Amino acid sequence: MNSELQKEGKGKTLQKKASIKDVNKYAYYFLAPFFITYAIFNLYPTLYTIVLSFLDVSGFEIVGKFVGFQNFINLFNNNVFIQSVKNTAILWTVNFIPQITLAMILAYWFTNNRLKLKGQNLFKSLFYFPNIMTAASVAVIFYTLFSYPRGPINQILIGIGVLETPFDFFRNVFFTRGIVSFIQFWMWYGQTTLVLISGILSIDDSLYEAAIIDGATAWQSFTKITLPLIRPITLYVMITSLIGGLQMFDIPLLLTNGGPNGSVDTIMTYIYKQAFQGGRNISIASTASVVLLLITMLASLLVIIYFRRSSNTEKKE
Amino acid sequence: MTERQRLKSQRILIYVFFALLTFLSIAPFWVVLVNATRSTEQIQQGFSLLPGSSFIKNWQFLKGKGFNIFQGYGNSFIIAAGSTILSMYFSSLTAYAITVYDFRGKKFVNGLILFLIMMPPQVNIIGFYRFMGQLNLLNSYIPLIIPSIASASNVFFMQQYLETIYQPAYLDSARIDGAKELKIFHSIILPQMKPAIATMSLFAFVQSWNNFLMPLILINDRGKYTLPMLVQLLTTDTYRTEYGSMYLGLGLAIIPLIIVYLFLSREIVGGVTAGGIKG
Amino acid sequence: MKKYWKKFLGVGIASLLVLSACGDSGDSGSSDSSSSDITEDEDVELETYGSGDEVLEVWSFTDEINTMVEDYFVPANPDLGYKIEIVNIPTEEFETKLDPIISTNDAPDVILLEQNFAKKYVESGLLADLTQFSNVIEGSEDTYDYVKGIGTSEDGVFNATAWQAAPGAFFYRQSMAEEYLNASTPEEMQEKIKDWDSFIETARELKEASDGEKYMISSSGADLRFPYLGSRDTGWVVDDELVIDDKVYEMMETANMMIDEGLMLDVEAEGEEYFAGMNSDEIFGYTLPTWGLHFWLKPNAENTAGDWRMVQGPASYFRGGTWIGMLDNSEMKEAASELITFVATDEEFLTQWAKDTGDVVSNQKVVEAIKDEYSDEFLGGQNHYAAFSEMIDDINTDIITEYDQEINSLFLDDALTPFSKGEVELDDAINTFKGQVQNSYPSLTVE
Repeated sequence: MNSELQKEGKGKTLQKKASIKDVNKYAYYFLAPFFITYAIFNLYPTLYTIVLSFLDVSGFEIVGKFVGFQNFINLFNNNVFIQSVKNTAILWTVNFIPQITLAMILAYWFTNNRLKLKGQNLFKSLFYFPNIMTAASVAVIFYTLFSYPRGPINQILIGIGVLETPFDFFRNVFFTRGIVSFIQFWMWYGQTTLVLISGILSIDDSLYEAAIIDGATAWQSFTKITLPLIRPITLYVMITSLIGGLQMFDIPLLLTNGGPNGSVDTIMTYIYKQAFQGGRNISIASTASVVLLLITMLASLLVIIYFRRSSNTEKKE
Repeated sequence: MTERQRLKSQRILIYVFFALLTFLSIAPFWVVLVNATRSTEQIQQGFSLLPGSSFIKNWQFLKGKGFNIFQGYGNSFIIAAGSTILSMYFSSLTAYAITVYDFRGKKFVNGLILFLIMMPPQVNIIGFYRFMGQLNLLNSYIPLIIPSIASASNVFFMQQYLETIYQPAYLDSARIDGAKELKIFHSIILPQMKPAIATMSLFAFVQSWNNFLMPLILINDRGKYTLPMLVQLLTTDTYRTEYGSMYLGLGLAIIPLIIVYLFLSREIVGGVTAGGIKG
Repeated sequence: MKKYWKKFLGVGIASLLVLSACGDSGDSGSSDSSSSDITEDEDVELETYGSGDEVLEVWSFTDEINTMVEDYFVPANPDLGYKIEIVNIPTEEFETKLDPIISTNDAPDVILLEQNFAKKYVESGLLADLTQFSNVIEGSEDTYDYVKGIGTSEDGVFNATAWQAAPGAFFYRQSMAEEYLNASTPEEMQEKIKDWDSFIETARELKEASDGEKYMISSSGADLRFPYLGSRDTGWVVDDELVIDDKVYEMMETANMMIDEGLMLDVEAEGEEYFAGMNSDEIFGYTLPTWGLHFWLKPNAENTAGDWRMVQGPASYFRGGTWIGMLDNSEMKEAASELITFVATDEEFLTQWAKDTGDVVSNQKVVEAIKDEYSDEFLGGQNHYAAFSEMIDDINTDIITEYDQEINSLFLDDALTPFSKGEVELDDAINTFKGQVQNSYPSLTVE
């Protein structure tokens, strides 16, 4: 009886080995659709963009001639492009610092066992809500809210006596940048909060219990335990936000079309306008795309290196 | 003050702050929906949080100017549904292939997927646009739908999920019963992945629904406009001075998402941490 | 193995079929709804006229062509033998729709061009030379030179023509002219604004006489920009180099000074308040071309109708207008030439069109023949037609270049607006503007 079973078992393992050896090639067939699609719709267009960045295609022309690195040299001497890079950096930074700060505070409150906040799910849903809304719609909504001279914000500010005459927000660099950054902040702080909460909840409870026994306050456990341990997830938040921020397009384009004085023109709106408006300089738009690709990769790398180094020094301490 | 009282007052302050954030989340959309029912004159005269009675008039103006919202709904739905279905099916299949089989280059494929997630999504639009023009696919939905077969972040998420539920022995016994590999995927793996697919499809759908740049550069034909493109039309001169209809157009564009969120906010919020590029 | 592959292909093909079905349903959906729209709305996306197997596809940003084809061309040519399909696209989307497909098979046969971007296509080398059609040549003999000038490329190829002439004028309020400026006739008014110095003096006079309640004009982008640009000696680009004419600097200083002294209300050109001013008693005058009288001033001036008069103002200029041309790769060129000859040169049609719409047409003979019959109640009985016709001769088309649309808008956004509002210094404004021009047209020399 026993030996019979063993025999059957042995037979099964053999069969299994044979079948697995046989079936493994299926992996290639199943991976094929993904990689073929990727090659056609992503890899080839990327390579094509890189090729275009070395040509001089513009306007109604379809073919261009090879110009080496001339487009890159021109681009780095082009104040309009440099300004768009600066704008992108400003808009991202001004949105991200308050965003991560608020998200940390909210995540701390939501996960604080002593506070025992009620209605957590409701509030999470409410804070996350702007994130699912269409960015294009959000931009047009804020455009109308802040419109001059009789948009709702102007009406309210005059109504409560803050302003005497209507104020044209979108002719003011400070306010226009502020509004773009605020929209980014407002759309994404809920998401960041949720991600941080999940990071905090994955921390082992026993660490906090030990800290309480040692007499640590809630704030101390947060700064000494939570913050260091959620570093990886903070890194994730930062990189994804950076990649997204470098692609910022819908909101500045639909809010003021990059104005006033190009103050919210981003790298993406620059690429779009170069390729599809004015002189339609396809090659310059491609060059800017290649630069954007490099900036994105470099920025992600720097963030990773920075976090690695600072966590190393902490370990040494 | 006792610890308890201190906590209590702290809690009250937090709730007040939460109320403020709640107001910020809702107010802009509320203003849009209210103004959609007010006349242009009323909107210019002053601000109100209560609806008016010019909904029909605004609607007629919008319609008269060729703002075909139902066509927009339909177009956006076709694209979002098509790309969601493809993305879910092929992401699962790809994840299945990577997780289940031992093949040469598995490590490389794993690393490649991670690398592709980090690739910024829009840097190739110029090449993409030109290539689609050469393939005669401008003004077609194919470039908006098919590429979702290759969504690295969805594959990554499906992989994570599959690793937690995957039991090799179970598949082997199915193989002994003579099941073919694709059948195993269809009849065993796909049903097991339902929860992951449900969550991810919400996000894939919303993402495609909200996409603006790609349709903007690819679609020329007004009849094929997606919702965000219709919204862009509202900023043009035709509607600029017709505030009531402009707000109505905006309201109609955001209402489907508001309704979806009313019913599915729990699922959406629960799935947020699953991933996705943000801004 | 084989069996598996079949299955796999099956799935792939099935999903492709589903997708292409989706695409098809999208197609049929759009045409369905647009055809149903025709019965309900004026603004439609696509209309078809006439019958036949072949289709002449026309793209237009204005629906005037729809009226012309429906009410004049088709009735005059009952046996066309082909269909005319008109696709109406809003002006601001026209180029972004057209450019990607202009050299493909999807391109239309006939395109209508707004003056702003007409030159871009005239110089593109993609339009057909109209002189190959004898009917166009014959018909164009009496067409105003300025109209043909815009439609002719640098190399001298006649690519586009027009049914319309769009000289510009200055429209002002008669009651205010009498009350504050002692000018009771258009002649007296013209004397007071015959050049820019008098114009500014008169603006100051108006301000003082009305205790600062009335403004001479509404917006620098609309009321100053076009006449100043029209009075330049050189265009934006000469020999591939950006040229900033002295008149441009003068315009910027004038705009800045007029805002500073409160002589101009300073609102966004063509914005809500710009139009609102036409119906209020705040603005003295507007700088508008022929079509501006019919499409902008009249509909927005219900309360002030009858109180308007027109004069040339400080400079002769033209603004807008619609040109029409055909693409060189069209297979319907003969049919296209018939349509173009009809709408742009047919004397009978142009006479009727002028009578029905009040439009100043492009044919000098027609204009001379009918100009004395007009009298417009909106202008207190003034003969706007005769007045406009006198302005056409002074129009200088040498200063129109293919870069104008983009450069004009960059100039407005980056130089004129910020400088006139006192946001930036003159040098900064000019430098930003130059940088933007270089950015848009890297091949141009910008000093």
